[in-house]
Amino acid sequence: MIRHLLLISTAAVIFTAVACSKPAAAPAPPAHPNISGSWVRPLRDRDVGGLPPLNEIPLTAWAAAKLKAERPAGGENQDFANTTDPSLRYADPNGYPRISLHPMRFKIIQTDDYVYQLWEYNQNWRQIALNVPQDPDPALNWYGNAVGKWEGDTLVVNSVGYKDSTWLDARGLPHTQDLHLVERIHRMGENLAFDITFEDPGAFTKPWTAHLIYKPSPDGSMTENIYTISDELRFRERFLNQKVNIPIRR
Amino acid sequence: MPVSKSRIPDPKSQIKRNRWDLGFGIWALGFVLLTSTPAIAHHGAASIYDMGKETTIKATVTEYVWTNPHVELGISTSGGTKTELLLELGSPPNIRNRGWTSRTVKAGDVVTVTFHPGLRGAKIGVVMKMITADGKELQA
Repeated sequence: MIRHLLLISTAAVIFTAVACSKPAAAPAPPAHPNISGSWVRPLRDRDVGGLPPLNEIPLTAWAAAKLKAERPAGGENQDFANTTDPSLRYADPNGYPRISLHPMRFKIIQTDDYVYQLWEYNQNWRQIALNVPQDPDPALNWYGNAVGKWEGDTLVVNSVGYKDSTWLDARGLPHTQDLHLVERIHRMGENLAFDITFEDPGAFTKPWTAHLIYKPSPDGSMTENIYTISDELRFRERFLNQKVNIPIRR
Repeated sequence: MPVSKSRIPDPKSQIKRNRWDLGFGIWALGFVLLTSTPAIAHHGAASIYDMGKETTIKATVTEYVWTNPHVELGISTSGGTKTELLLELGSPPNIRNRGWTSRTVKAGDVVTVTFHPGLRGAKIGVVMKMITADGKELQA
C-alpha cells in the first residue's frame, strides 16, 4: 500500500513538472557574424587582393624619396645582401598591416569585448577593443592601437599609434607616426575580406584603399615559428659569407 | 620625417568610402590580380640563386638543421662528412605542411636533391625537391 502511494505521488510530481514547464526558448541568433577561425592568404592564388602597385599609391615627396632610398630584399630592385628591410636587418616585428600580407595563417578569436588576431609568424598578435573610444594619447606600438565596432555585418576598426620604423609591406612602403587605418572586415561567402584605407598626410597625398581576401585554413594548433636576429645573422654568415660581429648561435 | 600636431584622427576626417575610394579600389584590385607574382620568400632568392637553372645530384647528407628563417641541408658529393654544398629549404612551418619534419633525413643518408644553384659559383642552393633513400619525394 505504501509502495503504491509512493509511486502515485512520484508520478504526480513528474506530471506536474512536465505540464508546468515552458517550452525551451529558441537560441538567440548571433549578434554579429562569426569571423573566428584560421585564415590564410595564399600568395599563389590570384584572387586574394593585395596592396596596389607602388606607382599607383599617392606618395608625398617625402615618402617617394624614402621609398627610393630603401633596399628591399625581394622584388625588382632587390638587394638582399645589403637590405634596409627592418624586419630582416634587425628582425623587427613586421608591424601592421605588413604581417597580414605574410603567407602564414592567422587565427581570429572573437569575444564580446575584443577581437584578437594571432599571427603564426613570430607569434605576434594584436587586439581590437570593441565599443570603446580611442586612447587620446596612444602609445607608439608595432601593431598600433585598434578600436572597433560592428556596423551591421561589418567590423569597422580604427587604429593609430604606429611606430614609424616599420614598412607597410616588403617593398619598403613607408609611413609616419600619424598613420591612421580604417579597416572594414566582413565575410565574403566562406572568405574574410579586409578593406583597409590608409590615411597619413605625411606619407600620402590622399587616402587610398587596399583589399585583402583571406581564405579559411584548417584550424587547430598553431605552429611555432619564431625568427630572431641570431637566426638571420647565422643565415647571412653561412649563405652569404657575411661577417658577424656579435655573438650568435652556431 | 613629417610630424603632425596630433596622432589622434579628427572624427570629422574619418575616411569615408566615397566614389573615388571605391573606383580606385576596384581598379587596384584588378591590377593586382593581373600582375601579382608567386610567393615572395624570406629574402630575394633571385639575388643569390640562379632561379633559371636546376641542378639534380645524388649526395650524402652532412647536416640537416631545422631552424629559422630556413631549414638548412648540407650535402657532400664525395661521400664525406664535410659540407661541400649548403642548401636551404623553406621555413619550418611551410615545409612541414609539405611533409617534411625535423627527422626527415640525418647525416649519412643518401638523397637525390634538385635545387637552384648559387650565383657566381657560390656553394649554396635553394632546394626544389628531394628524394629520400627510401624513395619518398618531397617538394620544398
